[in-house]
Amino acid sequence: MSIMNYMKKKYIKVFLPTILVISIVLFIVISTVIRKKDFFYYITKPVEYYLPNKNLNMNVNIYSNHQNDYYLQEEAIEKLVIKDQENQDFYTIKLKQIVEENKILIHDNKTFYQYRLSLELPLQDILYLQINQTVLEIYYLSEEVMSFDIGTIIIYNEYPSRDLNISHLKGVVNNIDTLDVLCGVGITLYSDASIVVNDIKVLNEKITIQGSNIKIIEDDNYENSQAINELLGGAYQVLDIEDSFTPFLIDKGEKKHYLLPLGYKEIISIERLGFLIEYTIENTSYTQLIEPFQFYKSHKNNYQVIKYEPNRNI
Amino acid sequence: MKIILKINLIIFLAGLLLTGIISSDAASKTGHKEFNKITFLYNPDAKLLVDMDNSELNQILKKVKKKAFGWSVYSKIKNYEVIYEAGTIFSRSNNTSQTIDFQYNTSSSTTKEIDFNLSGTLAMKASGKIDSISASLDRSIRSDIGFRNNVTFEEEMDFQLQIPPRKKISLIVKGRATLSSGAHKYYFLGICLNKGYWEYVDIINEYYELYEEEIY
Repeated sequence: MSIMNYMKKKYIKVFLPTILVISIVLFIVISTVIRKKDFFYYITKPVEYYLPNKNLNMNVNIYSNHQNDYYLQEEAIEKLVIKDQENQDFYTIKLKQIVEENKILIHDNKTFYQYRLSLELPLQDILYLQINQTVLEIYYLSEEVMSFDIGTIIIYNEYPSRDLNISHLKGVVNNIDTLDVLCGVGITLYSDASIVVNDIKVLNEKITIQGSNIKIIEDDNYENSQAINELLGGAYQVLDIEDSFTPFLIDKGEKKHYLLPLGYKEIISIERLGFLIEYTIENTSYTQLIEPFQFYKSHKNNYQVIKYEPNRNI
Repeated sequence: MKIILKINLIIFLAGLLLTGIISSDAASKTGHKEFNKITFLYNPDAKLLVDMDNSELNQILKKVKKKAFGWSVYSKIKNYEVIYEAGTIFSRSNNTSQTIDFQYNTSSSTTKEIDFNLSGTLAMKASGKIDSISASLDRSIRSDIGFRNNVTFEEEMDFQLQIPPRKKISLIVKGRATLSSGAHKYYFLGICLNKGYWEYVDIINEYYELYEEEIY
């Protein structure tokens, strides 16, 4: 009997506290694991969105580590805003659709699922607008807010003139400060009329054409990675943004390959560019659009990873 | 009925043969279906596996060190910079007498970030996705030549252009990549059970060029 009492006391004194401590530790571990599961990770890749002013629809891809992500359901969203981080201008935009695509990417051994957000910018009568460092802010009915860097939005006018034809278009991409930089554009132009090209403007405020360094190249079969100063036959300064332009004549039927060196306000990697060519035919002025063209694609990816911990149970 | 079956069988076999010939021709230029041409940028004496003769290949195989268990890998070339030509994305002709508008849109990338070619008995298994055996070989090779960031984004590429009468416009892809190649052997209890060659092309970037040609 005394042994039984001893065992009972021992059980109460030793085993119960031990079980209690183990339970508390287990609870902490399990709750930590569950909380870790609650973290949401998102990936966006900032790119250039070129939107003609008559069609302001754009698709933004967001990658989430969750399938059927609550935060990427239309029903959970109150409104969307795009904000220019440079000057704090912002615009409320229309969410047309969110589609969970059957595409994944792997980052840090985690699987991320692609969601395509179809958006519409409710802006009208704009000839040119550039939204630098665009942030997409998503406001939720739960009063949470999430922000994603999506890149640059450029809205441009589609001019109808078509007097100039392009028979060859290519980029010269040099490696500067470990970045692939589009340093020049090679373009072969011809026309059925005699044309004076008065200016060529870049559809990006951060970039100009170094007008006084434009060169006619006889053999257009150069490598895209060739050093631009070799092609120009002289020094090239990537941060030279002088935009003086010496008009040049394109005779009727004449076909020439021009190398247009590009100057940057800061060294950035821009893969897509469009141009506006201002020209005159028999003293009448016209502007022709060269549609934004993907000159190259770098596999040194620059992307943003966001970690988000929800403040509610999902 | 039997004659019809025989004819069908002959057509089927001829089709298979023809497909084999065509695919082996396309791949035989570089050994990689993705690339029509690969040129070494700074190492003009370097060779692709397809350009090596049997004695050169045997020399590489002999350099693979013997070990007790697992994959043993020898790298003949490590991350040499190359220029590649990946082919034409589209080619559109205008046979009419008027300028036509042409809109091009794609949401998929044109070339894979990494292309590899394994020979030996593994080649059959590596023709689809990497299975567990070739994945372990891939790890062995990668530990020698270096791992690559495999984050690949699906990006939309769209543009529109005008094609004048009697002209054809093509969009071609070239780019820079690094190339590594060598040989491999698989050992169990010091006995070689598998051997072959490997060649990896890791894409650095892609350049796009638009060309216009006359239609005669």
